[in-house]
Amino acid sequence: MRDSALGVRLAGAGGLSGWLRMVLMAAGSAAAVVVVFTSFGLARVVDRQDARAQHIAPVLAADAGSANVNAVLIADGWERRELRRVVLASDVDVPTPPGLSRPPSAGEVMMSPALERLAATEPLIAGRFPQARGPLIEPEGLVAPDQLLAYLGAPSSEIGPLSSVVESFGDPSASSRLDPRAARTIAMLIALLLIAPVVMFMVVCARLSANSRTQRLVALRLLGLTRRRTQLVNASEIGVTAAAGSVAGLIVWNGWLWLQPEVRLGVFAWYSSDIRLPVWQQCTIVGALVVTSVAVAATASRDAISQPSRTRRDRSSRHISPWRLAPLTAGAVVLIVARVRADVTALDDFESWVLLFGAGLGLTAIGLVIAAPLAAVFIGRTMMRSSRPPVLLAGSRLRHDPSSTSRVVAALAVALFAAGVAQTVAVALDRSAADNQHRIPAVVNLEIIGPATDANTYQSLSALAEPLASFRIGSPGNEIDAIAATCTQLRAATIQPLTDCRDGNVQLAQWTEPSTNNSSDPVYDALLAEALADAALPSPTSAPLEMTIPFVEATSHPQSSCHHSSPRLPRAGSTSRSLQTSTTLRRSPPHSPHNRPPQSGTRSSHRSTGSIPPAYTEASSPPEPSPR
Amino acid sequence: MNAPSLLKADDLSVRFGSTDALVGLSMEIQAGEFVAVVGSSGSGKSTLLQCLAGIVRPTSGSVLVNGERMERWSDRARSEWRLSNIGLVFQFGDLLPELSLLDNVRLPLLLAGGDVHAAAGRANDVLDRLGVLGVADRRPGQVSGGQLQRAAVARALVHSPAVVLADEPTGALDTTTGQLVLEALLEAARERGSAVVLVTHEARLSSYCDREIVMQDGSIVQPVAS
Repeated sequence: MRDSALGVRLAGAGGLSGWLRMVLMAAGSAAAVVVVFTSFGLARVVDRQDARAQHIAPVLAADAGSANVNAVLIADGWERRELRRVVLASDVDVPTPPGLSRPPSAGEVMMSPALERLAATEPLIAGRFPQARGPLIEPEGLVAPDQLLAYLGAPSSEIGPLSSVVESFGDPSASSRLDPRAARTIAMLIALLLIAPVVMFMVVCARLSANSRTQRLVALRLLGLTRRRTQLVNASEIGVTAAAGSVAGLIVWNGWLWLQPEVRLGVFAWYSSDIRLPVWQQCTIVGALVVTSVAVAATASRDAISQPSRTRRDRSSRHISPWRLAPLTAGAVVLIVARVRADVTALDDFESWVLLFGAGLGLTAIGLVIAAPLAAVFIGRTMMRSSRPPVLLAGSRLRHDPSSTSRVVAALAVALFAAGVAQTVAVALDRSAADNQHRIPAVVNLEIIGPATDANTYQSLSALAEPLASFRIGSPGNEIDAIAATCTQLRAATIQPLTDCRDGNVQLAQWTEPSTNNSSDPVYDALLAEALADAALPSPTSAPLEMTIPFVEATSHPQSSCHHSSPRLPRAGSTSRSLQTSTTLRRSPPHSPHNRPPQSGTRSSHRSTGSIPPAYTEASSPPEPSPR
Repeated sequence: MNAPSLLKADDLSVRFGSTDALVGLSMEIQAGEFVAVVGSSGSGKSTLLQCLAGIVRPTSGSVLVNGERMERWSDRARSEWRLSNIGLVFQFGDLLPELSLLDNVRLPLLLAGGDVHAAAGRANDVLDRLGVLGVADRRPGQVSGGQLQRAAVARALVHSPAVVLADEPTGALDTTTGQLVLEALLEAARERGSAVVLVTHEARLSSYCDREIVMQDGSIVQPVAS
């Protein structure tokens, strides 16, 4: 009989208990495969989404002559998510965006599936896209399944003075919504944090029924099997179980991804194809896990195989070497070094610090498992001083069989660790879900990416439905944020009914925040009056309008750079679309995001997308250079 | 001229830490003879058996196999020699609990590279000879102690070894069952021409053997010829 065949035979032998043991060990391997695949897959998602972002990013011509313009890029927002619109000229040659078979025609919108779903449930979003619906954007043209993206078609006469020349799609300099380096580092850290307990878990699984397996191997050695052949039997027994479990995990993981083309984890979403590892990588991981299991079993059985008589005579009183403390000590030292370096490490060196920290963490975790028998022996010796028989017996058991006891402790530790991680994830997901329930429409946060022109031109763009005007008036240091809009527009932009809104009035916006005391503040009122006078605006004539705060929430959005600047205002006497407007006012707080200095960047943006009564424009501050 | 000894212990000493298990022990085993090694617990009987089987390496002295010094052999050579030439029986059988009695018994043949069906045939023969063929498909945990030990004896004899080393094979059995097992062992060994070294602390069992060796504190104190 071939030794490997005997090992395979022994793997599931022994009736129901044997099968149960094998199933448990295989399940451990399967779980390990799923966790490791997911860990590595998360790191891959970052790169894949970065590549997708580059794939769909428009390449803008350096010199956008007005005769050639063919697109307007608009960054918008919904809750905390970016809503990106790309308006393409329908009557000139434009490149076909990725994920579409053709560019949109005039008056047509082609949405991402997520945007279409959102528009179906949110009237405010649906109101932003009154155009005829075209085909959906295919996954090839999206960064993630939850991306809110729309391609709209408009006559080039509307786009004319506005915008950019999109030469093609696929900008290698573009990046995804997350900083790829930071995201990769975080993914690496998560992987390390996950893989360490997985290794511990595998050790525990590989050592299930270790005593009976040791006795089997000893019996084979006594029969006359050589060390090498006995190890081969051992490796075959563990290897076939680990391989079966790993393959099962591989099938489960790939099957799950096959059944779920889109994967969602709380606020995160990605395409299954992005997290799916290449076949060679899957095979390597499975192979490595099987080898790890075999190595663990071989190492644990080494003494029994080399000295079968000693194991047989005194199977439980093994000497526990103090060297077992070495990995734990090394891990602690690495963690201390990482802690010291954390204060002096430059951001450029962050990745290597994460590796150091992760290595320390992994070493400490594994060291805890390896050192556990030493602690068991120590505790056992202490307990054996007791005169109470139960304590004495328990102490004796600990003293003479510390490995099996510590395996139980290690298994419990791993279970607790896994439960802790699961609880942390659950809390995070729950919190993100709770955050999402705090819905704050942000219609006024429109950002036009491209060369700066006047706001009236945006007003003429049919691809934008009911644009508002949001601008800043007053002298520097004494400024007021103002929105010029009809009451209907304001109602569409907020979640309040705004029953006190009156068209044609100047009204104070009473921005409500959950944690803010909205009672009257004399200092604020005085500053407001001063600003109003400075801006040559009449005093508010109606009751304050309570509005939810789109500005504050929007500052957390990556695309909210428009708040860092004063908007460019339209020329006096320009054509106005809204003839009867209500103007709401809010004074900029001294240290609000509105007053931050402009940040460097490549995009120019406009917060203003509507018409503004000429009277207000005369009182406004002069246009400032466009930020970012 | 005397027949060459099958196994010979020459001034054998084994020390475990600070304990002397064997002290300058010398003895010979001839082909086909039955030797009883008796003595109290801790007298070194089992250590002697393991030295003779090549499981324990002596601290000093030699075990000679057909004139060759076993301690010079590699672990692999000793293991292969043991697999082919030694049958071992222990107090608790030491069968693999995951395999049936039949599989346990034919295991030495299979590990030595024998044919599966031929091994099964020979195993069935031995099991039949020892009266446990009826439970051959059961696992060790599913049979009585006597049946278990008979199966262990069958495993030790299935490959017709030159020497059967039995370490307290009846120690866990009642007197009647133990006697039956011992008689079966000796009878089957005699049929195959195997020598038997029977380690026991029951002096009465030595009456079944050709020769008795009495051990005390790691040394032979009274070699007696039957």
